[in-house]
Amino acid sequence: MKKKTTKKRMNNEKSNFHQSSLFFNNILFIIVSIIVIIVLYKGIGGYKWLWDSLIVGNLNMIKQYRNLTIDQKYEIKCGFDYKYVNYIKSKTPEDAIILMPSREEIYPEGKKSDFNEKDASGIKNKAWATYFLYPRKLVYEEEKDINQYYECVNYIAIVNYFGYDRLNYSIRKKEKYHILPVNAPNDKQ
Amino acid sequence: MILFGIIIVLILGFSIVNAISKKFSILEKIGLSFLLGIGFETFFMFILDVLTIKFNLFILIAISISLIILLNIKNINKFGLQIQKLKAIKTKAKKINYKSINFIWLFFFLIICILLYGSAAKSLYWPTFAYDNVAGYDLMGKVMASEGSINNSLFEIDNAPILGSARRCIYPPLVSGSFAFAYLCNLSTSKLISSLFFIFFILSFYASLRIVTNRINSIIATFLMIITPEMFAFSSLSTTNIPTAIYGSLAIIYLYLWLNKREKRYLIISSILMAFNVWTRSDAVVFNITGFAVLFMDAIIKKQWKALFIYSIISFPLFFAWNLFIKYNIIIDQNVFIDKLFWDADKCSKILVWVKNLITNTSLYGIAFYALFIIIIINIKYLIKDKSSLLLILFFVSWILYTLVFYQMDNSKMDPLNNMMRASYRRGLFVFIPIIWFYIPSSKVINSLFEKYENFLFSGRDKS
Repeated sequence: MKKKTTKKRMNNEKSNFHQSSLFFNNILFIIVSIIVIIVLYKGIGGYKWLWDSLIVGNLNMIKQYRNLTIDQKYEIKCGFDYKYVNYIKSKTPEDAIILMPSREEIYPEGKKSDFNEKDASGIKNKAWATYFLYPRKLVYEEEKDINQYYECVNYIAIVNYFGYDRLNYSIRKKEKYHILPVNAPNDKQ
Repeated sequence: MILFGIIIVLILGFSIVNAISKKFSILEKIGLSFLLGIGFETFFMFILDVLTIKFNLFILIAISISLIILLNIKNINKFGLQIQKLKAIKTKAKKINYKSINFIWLFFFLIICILLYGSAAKSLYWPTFAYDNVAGYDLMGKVMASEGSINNSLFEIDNAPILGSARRCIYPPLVSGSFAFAYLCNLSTSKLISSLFFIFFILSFYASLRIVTNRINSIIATFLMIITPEMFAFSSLSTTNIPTAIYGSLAIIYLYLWLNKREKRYLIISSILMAFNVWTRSDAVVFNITGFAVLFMDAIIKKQWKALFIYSIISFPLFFAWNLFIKYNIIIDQNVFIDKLFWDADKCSKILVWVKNLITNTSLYGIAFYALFIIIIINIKYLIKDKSSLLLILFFVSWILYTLVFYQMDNSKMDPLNNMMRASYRRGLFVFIPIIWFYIPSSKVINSLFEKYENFLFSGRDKS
């Protein structure tokens, strides 16, 4: 009986020892893993960028600006182009057919434009502008001959003071950026 | 509404995987449930469009629920039995010995959770803003949801894609359709879908690794795959590249598993994933062709054609269906390739220089390609005999074919070669990253090393 109890105790001690060594090995491997991760982080720019910018940087930024509205976020990412399409969206009904400004009007020669010049995005791009203005129909000068909506345009997008001449009425106070109906509305402009 | 929609997608995908085989692990079933479920939702949209029926959330959910019931009709009869089984599991549940917990696994699991949280937080915080998505896939998704049609008002002028969208609106509808599903569920942006794609992919990748190797090896490889910088950055954007990488790489991995284990379920899953691979981008057909070529060789050697037949009838029809749909509905020059074989040493050398510069750029792909070549050298002794070499064959054949696509491309119809390599090819390489990180842990040397380590660590103990 005594022998059995001693054996059991020895087994328990052996098991405890094994579990402690398992725990130790686990911790040892974690330390090795941390060292490898630090080496990768310090040695390879891509991993550093991933952690510093994509994880920590973004989470900090999200925490800092957690109350931004969707419009503010779009303005940060898309700049003035978004501000302008959002303005058009707020001033036109969903069934509006809008004549958009031409490239020459968006980027007048010799003048600095408020619109994005760096890449293909922005109001100069019909697909891009449609994304924000849908279901409104957009018409561009360059597709004048093929777009069946050209004849039915009921709103004119005005940029850099261009476009007022397309209205069927005159405007006294001209603004740099505007969206106006082609025909004079019943109320006073 | 979105929660209900996603739950239906998950149950549908789960039921499909379960119907293929009950032998899949629970992790595989959960991981694949979203990937297959959302793929099928977009397939329903396409079928409805062909039948000129306008789709909406109600119709899609009704079709999904009908299919779920059909797929689970046998299980419903055995529902009582399943409950009893579950109860039995509960009573059998072992007491956890906290000292024998696999802390290494837990450590990497926690880092992966932090990384996924970071990716999802970024994805959900910012609305869709990247040019390709705004003027392409997400625009298409938005209009599809609003009009209940794939051939919608974006093609109303002369049946050509809307000005400024280039070819983005005629990409196969898996990505735009999945975004449409989000909009149909009344979401203001579709970014949730991009996060779900990535999270369920990680689950599937880990689950597939567990078939060939142990927990520690699998979780470390999963971690190394996730931290591929360029791929991680794209995981929070709504482009087509990550979904293509997900379906393409998993399809190749499951095809390898079939070649290795000859269990029919792997072949079927691989074929479905291949089908959805070309349902994201048509140029991803190179992976389907690779699978076909390898299975063809296998069929010749084994003189058994059934697998090749099953693979072909599942993986290719969507590719042809979409291209025919575009051909008969949209006016656009579909052929962007030089349709004769040619030799242009200058173009060839330019492409090879680009390939070399890209794969050695650790800022883009981390240590992935370096690790691959080192592991191949370490395993050189076993390359002929070891089954993991089959994965290398699939990897290199598809890589060569994928590179040839860029060689054969007619740059007068597309962007200049440098732009194509800098953007498209660079992102296209994402497909190969999971395959690399699947090969490394399953290679003979690394797998044996980790087997020995885990045996040493848990000899005679339960692996928690």
